[in-house]
Amino acid sequence: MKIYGFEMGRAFRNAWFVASVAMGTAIGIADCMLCVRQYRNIGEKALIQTWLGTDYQFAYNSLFYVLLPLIACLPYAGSCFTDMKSGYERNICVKTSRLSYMAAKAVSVAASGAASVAIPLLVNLFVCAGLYPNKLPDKLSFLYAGIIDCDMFPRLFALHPVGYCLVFTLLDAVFGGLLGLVAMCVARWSGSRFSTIMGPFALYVFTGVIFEGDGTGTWSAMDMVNPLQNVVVYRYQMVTMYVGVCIIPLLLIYMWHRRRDIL
Amino acid sequence: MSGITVEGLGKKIKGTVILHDVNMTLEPGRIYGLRGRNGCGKTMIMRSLCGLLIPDKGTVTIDGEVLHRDIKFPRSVGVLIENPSFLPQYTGYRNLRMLARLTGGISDSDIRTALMRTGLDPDDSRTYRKYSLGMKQKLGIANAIMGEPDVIILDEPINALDEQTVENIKTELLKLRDAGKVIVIACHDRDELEFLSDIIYEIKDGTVAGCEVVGE
Repeated sequence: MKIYGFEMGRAFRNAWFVASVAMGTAIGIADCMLCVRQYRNIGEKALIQTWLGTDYQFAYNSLFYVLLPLIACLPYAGSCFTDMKSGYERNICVKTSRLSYMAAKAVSVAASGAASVAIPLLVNLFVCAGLYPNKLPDKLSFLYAGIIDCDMFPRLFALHPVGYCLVFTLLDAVFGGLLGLVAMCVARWSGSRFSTIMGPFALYVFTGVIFEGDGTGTWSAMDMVNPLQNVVVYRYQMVTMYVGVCIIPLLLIYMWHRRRDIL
Repeated sequence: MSGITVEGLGKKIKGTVILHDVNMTLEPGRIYGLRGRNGCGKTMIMRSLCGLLIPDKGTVTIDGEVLHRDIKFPRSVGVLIENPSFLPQYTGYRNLRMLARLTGGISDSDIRTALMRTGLDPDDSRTYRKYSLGMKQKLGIANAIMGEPDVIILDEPINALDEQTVENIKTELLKLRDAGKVIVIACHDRDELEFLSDIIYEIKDGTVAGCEVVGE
């Protein structure tokens, strides 16, 4: 178990983790400030309409969800590549088994990715909760109409907006963690730490563009993880995507680990 | 410990034979030197001794336990293979402390002792990224000897070190030998290797081509 503590310590006590959380939080704070500037005195806005995840009025929602893979992978996903290239993994693999090392690496990459996505969303939720009332969504708003068409928690959105925010924060955090695992796979073929981190981002944007289609029943991960649900997402698609993004990287990492006979 | 036995070790990489029928017996309280031309397989033998290489054939038995069958990694080994590598954002002391926690049973005073034995200051506040080449090498050696493991494997340990440090390292290695450790060294400096080693294995084309007992 020592290796898990070792890897977790490396994942969370590094400048990239702080930078990543700061980047996400800055986007959320910027969104908040814009909301305050425009709607503070009107009093018609609700928490659900100003939270970064469901704020359709400003571009910060799109910015956060486009940058989500970078926010998730920046903290620690590149360490798999750097440990391998620098030979640091040799220091570790003479003190613990290779399988434990890879498992600990995967867990800490996923945990740091999840945390760096969840923290900005939660901070933004707390700040918005301090500024705006937790009213039920306005039924006539575009936002409400968009989400109610979807299969992803429309009742929760309509009746318990904060619950909806928390559920999507959790889903996004899990997705951020899974993207970290994708980066670990990319490290196998990557030539640099930069490309290891950019790999999941490129894949995310590429599939986002390719699979967006006509906007109904989309397979675009970029649209699925956005609580705004601009396009219709069905629950089976979400489940399939999460299971796929979890199983495929884990399988590839395991196969790669099995084939690596020289460190 | 009862020593290390290497039997019939073989390894191919993409069809190229890297190691072929390597047989060695390494006993505690001795320093073994590996000598040979570049690419002859010295580093691969060292990797296989510490479990970093999974052989296609043969076994490495450490203290009666077969590596990759009974144990996944040696129970007590210190290694410096190729270039030393540490986390650049931390000091030498902190790097060693993190790695020591993985092993367990290595106290802070053991870490300080290892650093001082190699001529590094444990209280040096410079991070690893600011270390010179020689300091990096010293930290690599300190990592290998920290906690005085039963087996110490050093690939080109005196590279980039000044004469005074080389003398200190040699003295420390001889002390560790006298304390009953198995020490394996690869070095291109023939004189240094002969000075340090009790037995020198000549490695050629991935196999042991000869064995020389120094001083006989």
